[in-house]
Amino acid sequence: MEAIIQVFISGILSGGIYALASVGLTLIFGVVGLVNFAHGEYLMIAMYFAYWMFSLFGLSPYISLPLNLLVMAFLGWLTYKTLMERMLDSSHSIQMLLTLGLSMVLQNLALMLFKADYRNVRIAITNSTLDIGFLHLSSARVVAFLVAIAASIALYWFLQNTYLGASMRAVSQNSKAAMLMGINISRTYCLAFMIGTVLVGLAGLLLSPIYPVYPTVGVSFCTLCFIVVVIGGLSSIPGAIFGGLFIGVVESAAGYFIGPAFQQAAYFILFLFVLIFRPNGLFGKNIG
Amino acid sequence: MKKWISILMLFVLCMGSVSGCGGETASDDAGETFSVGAIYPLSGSNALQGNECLTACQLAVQYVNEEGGVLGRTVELTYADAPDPATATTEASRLVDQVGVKAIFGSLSSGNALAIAGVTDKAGVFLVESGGIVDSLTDNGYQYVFRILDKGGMRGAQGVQYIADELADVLGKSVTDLKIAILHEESSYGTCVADGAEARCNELGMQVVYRDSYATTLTDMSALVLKIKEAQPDVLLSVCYVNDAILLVDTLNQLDAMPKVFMGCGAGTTDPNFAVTIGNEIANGMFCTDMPTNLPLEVFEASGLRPVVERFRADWLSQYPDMVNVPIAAEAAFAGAYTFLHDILPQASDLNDPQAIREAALSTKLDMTTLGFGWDMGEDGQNQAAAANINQWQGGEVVTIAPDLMKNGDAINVPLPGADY
Repeated sequence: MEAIIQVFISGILSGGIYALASVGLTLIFGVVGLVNFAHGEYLMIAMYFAYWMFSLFGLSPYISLPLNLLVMAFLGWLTYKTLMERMLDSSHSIQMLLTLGLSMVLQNLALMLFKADYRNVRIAITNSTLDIGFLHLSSARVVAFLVAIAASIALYWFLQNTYLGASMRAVSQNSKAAMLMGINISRTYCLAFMIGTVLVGLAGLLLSPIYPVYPTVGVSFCTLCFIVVVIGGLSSIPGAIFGGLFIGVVESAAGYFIGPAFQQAAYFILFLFVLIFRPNGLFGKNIG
Repeated sequence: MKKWISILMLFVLCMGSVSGCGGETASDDAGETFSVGAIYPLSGSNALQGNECLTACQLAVQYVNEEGGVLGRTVELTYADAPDPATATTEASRLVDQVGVKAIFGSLSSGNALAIAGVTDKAGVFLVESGGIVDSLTDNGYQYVFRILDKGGMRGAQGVQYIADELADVLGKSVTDLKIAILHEESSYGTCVADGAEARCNELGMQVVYRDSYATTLTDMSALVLKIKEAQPDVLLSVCYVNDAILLVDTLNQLDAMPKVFMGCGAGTTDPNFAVTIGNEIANGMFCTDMPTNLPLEVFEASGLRPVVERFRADWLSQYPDMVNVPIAAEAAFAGAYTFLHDILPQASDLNDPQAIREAALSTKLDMTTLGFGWDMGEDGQNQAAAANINQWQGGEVVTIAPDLMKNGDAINVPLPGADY
């Protein structure tokens, strides 16, 4: 029984990070209508930033957090203004090709600049554990989980209780009607893209003491984000949070009860079932 | 106009297909060059080791050319990136059909090795394998595949044999009382090493209390480590790549699940990045069964290979200033390329006849290569002289513990000071 509880808690902790990364993807898809295949690469960039801050200046990722998020916001703005904004009226296939291309460019740029080496941020928290009774919890994963959940809830609150949040929800429901109501569509899209990039950056930053960074680290997380987003409901923030936690638990439970080789297969099977029986996901369709 | 655009596009496509390969493309029609290829994962999750191997191959070609090439012909190396077996097949076809290579050096992973061999053997092109240890590579009846290193099954069995012969007593247990957990990454590489280990455990009567496999893309190993902890093994035998080996050890530490003996099999636990990342204190005492590595230079004295080994280590490390030692995978890549170009090809009666080269490879017997063992190819293309060493991390260095002929230290920290049960 103790092991089962440990498995469940481990899954929840991993799920928190998946949720945070997926919330950013959901926001971009829900508001801007873009399927961003380069989402994982922003996670990779944030991890590299955390690594270099640690390596060059001895700054823990938690200390370099504000600067890292600022950089991610800038990158989000830059990407939107230089690439995404021009493609908003293009077909979905063109948009997908663009983000896929961007993903490859960023991966290879990282490979060229930083080589393929695995780089690790080893700080005191990396190997420390939080022992609660029989539970052994990785401190870094606990911190990541708490920050991830807090950030996801803060985003939900922002969308529900602020003017900007309301304008994002309005744009996600009907962009033309929102424009007629005086909402600046372009600015809303840009803001949504920036917030989405900042959130995945935060996920990368929280991952950096746990997982090594290398040029293709974003690929597996990006795939996972898409599964989470589809399971949760294509543009539902609570759906993405639930989906992330759910996938974390499924992954962990499958690894324990069936076998580690089945961990990833388990959530892919779940993904197929959701696509067949509930194509809109488990939660609603609109942002918030 | 449309015609011109079509021609221009065709040109761009042709240029694109050529630029997928690196290095100088060769044409040895004039008989002045001998074209070889190298296929390694230069991008993707195994790119770190792939790039290290490519550097080693390039140095081997450089040294051979400095000595006048192969029978007076300059060796030209063309390399290609193959992060996965599907790309390896495409790149092997490209090197064979478009570049016209006579041999390919590769390929780090067993999956890639099998993919390349499927292309090269039909074309009468040699695959000199120095990384893929999957048993089936030399069990498929290929004529032009030569593997300089040992088979995976042999390696797993060797790790288990050492545990039975040397560690059981130290742990105060009889061999039949020893409990072992086997964990491996799920590709053919991990599976064949684990199969060899399990078979030897069964022969010796050792208790295999856990065996499972996992995908290297796994981001959380808590579930499998909990299963290992429940099984309470004395020994954990793992077959990992670097990234997953680090994650495994971290999780073992976090969940208080470190066994008395950690026996890694394969390059993941021997790679310098492994100890640097998990910390030398934690790595101290962990075993790794792998090809011989960083052997004392005296081992190469009698064969006359000392100068070339010494030079290779210095040249390679000058390109990787952060590294202390040359990783095993790169040493093997160098040994494969250098031995084939320097010692085997000059024995062939005709460099344009694959059968003549095969005969040279089979008839040439070397007591020593730069890898620390000889060259004695069997009909199946497996080097019969190859054997793995038992190594151990000691103070940030990989120290050879067995066999006696090559050892440069004794085992320490058995059981591991951080063992939890």
